[in-house]
Amino acid sequence: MSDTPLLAIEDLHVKVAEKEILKGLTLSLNRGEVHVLLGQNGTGKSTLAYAIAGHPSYKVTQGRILLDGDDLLAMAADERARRGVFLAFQSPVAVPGVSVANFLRTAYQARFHGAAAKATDKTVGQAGGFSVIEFQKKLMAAMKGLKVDPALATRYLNDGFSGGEKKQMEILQMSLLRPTLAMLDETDSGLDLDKLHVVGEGAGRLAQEYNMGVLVITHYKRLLTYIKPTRAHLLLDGKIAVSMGPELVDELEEKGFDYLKATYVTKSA
Amino acid sequence: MLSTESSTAPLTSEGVTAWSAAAGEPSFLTERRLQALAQYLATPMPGRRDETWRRVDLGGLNIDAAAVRAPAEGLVELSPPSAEARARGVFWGTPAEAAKAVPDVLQRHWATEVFPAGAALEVGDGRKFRALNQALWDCGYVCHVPRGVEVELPARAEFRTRPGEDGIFPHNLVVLDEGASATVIESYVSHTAGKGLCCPQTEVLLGVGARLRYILLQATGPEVVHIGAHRAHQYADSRLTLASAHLGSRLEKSFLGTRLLAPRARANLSGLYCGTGAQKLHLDTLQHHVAPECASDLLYKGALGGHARGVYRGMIHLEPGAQKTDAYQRNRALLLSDAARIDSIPGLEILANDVRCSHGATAGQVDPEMMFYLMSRGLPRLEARRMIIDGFLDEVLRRFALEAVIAPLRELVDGKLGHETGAASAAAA
Ligand SMILES: Nc1ncnc2c1ncn2[C@@H]1O[C@H](COP(=O)(O)OP(=O)(O)OP(=O)(O)O)[C@@H](O)[C@H]1O
Ligand SMILES: [Mg+2]
Repeated sequence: MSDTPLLAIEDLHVKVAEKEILKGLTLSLNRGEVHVLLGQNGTGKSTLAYAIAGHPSYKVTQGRILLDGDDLLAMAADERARRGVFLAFQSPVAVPGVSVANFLRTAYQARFHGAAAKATDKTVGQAGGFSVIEFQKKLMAAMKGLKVDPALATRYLNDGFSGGEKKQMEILQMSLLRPTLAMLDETDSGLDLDKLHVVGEGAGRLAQEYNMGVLVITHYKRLLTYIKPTRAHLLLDGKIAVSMGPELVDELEEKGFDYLKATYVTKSA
Repeated sequence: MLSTESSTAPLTSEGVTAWSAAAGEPSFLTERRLQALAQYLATPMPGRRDETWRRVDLGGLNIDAAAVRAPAEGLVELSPPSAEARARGVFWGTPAEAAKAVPDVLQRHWATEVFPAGAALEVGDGRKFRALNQALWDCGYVCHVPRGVEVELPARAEFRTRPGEDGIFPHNLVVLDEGASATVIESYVSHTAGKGLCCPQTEVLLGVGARLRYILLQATGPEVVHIGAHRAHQYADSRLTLASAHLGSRLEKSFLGTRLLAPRARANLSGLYCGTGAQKLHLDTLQHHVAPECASDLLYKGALGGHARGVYRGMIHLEPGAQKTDAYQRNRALLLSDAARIDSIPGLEILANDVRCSHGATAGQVDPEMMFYLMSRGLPRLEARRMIIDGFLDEVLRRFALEAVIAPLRELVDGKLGHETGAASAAAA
């Protein structure tokens, strides 16, 4: 049991809009590990994250994705989330008319109190073992920890949020939902240096505290000072072309993609 | 009145005269009934040639079979007038009570100005049904707030359709004198299932600087035909906030609107509609700017599932004198099934040149990216969908302003759409 990886991806092929983007990707990630996924724009990094999270437009045509040995592909997105899969979106969508507080409470209930104990119960206090007051306290503490402007709680979800506020909101959700597998898709982009520090540190602390497996998608090193990577992968032509230690990130930052391709890809070919 | 409790009379001038006399109505009311009746008899049923009715399928509705009926018990329940308001000269009661307590208000305003009995029918006022209401009205309310008086407590009128095929014809009058303010909540429900006809008409007069919050709720039974007209006349600096919800009936055709007759009057018109099954909801709005420097802002939002069909016709009419007008109109629909349909037909008649005016209509489905976002946080499909629909309607729901209205309204909408989302997912599975 202990040698079952948290996430095992085998020979994954994914199509979006009739175009094959991932063409036989294999990857394995354990609890407590932080993997970085590198790759040029449009190579399919977000596609991989969506496929793992269960976006219906990203069609898996071949291969397997297992979470703790269980077939993720047999589950709809909501079930995967309740099992502990979390994606911090590269560009989170706005949901007008739905307040942040209401959304977070509903998501929290779905994750920890079963989908059946729905937020339809409008009573204040205990509802199916769920205390609205307790949750409110948790939310306030989490917002404070990530320096999220408390005014955002009463706003509509992501509606009119700045780029940085959206990214903060994603990590706030991660902190409330405490996933076992956290995927951070360019969470660092859009954050100013101050926020990057707070959000990066917050995410790093959460990952450690709950022994999460983390997949970080990024183009830069800066977030990785807070979330220390244990392994790095380069995505190329729909496959993992290079897998090695975190030094790959330094090399990319110093020398660029062409150097990596020339050095590692042609060598291994 | 009591002696006519169970009587009916045929739809003829003799019938109406006899009935009105037996009810002890003042002669001016009898005359207006007769004028309306003559017009009713001379007007053909609205049909395919009539643009505003072209898409309305009245489906064998035989209104000529309607008869003059005594105001049976229980057609309407009015909230009790507060003693304090009464002490300040506010009248709130039935038309019969008004005929005794405030006869001059009735004489001046009942079917004389907003919808004058016998006057030529216009586009957008309900045509033959307008005349029928004015001939046959059998229940209603009158609200009169004298100059400068502000009434805090909302006045409520709840109308109930009659069981069986008999129609009800509520006629209502709201008169706010200069500087007065009030809130009126007018709702239509059915306590029995089955067919029915509900044909209300409400005339609103807002004096200089008067402020009215007018909430309208159409929640009649699933086999009822509901044809209504509600219109305000606004004088200088008056403020109308009209929020209407259209949820019930098999077929609704409602005319809602305002005339801004003197400078700086402002109107905020909101509509929430929700159709399921085979419901047909036809909503016609009018923003008629006669005077300069007035503003009207209209927002309608609806959700349609099943085979429901919505037809929204919005008219912005700016007279040559209506310079410096702000007039906006938006209708947005969310279609919850492939078979649901919305037609938005904006009409602009702009005869002034120094104005700001816009209209827009959109229709769309529940956004799959929003669905994925919510589901990726663990919300089951149905709950995610419900949350998105509720969110969509929230903007217009807020415009009902009173929590005592919003909460039950939200529940009505959720209840209706709960079936719809459940059915949709069952079909998809
Ligand atoms: N919904 C979609 N419809 C059509 N094409 C899509 C869709 N999603 C992704 N693609 C295409 O698939 C390819 C991979 O996109 P993806 O977003 O996974 O790239 P990425 O590696 O995350 O890029 P970036 O670094 O710019 O975020 C791109 O060519 C993109 O245009
Ligand atoms: Mg991407």
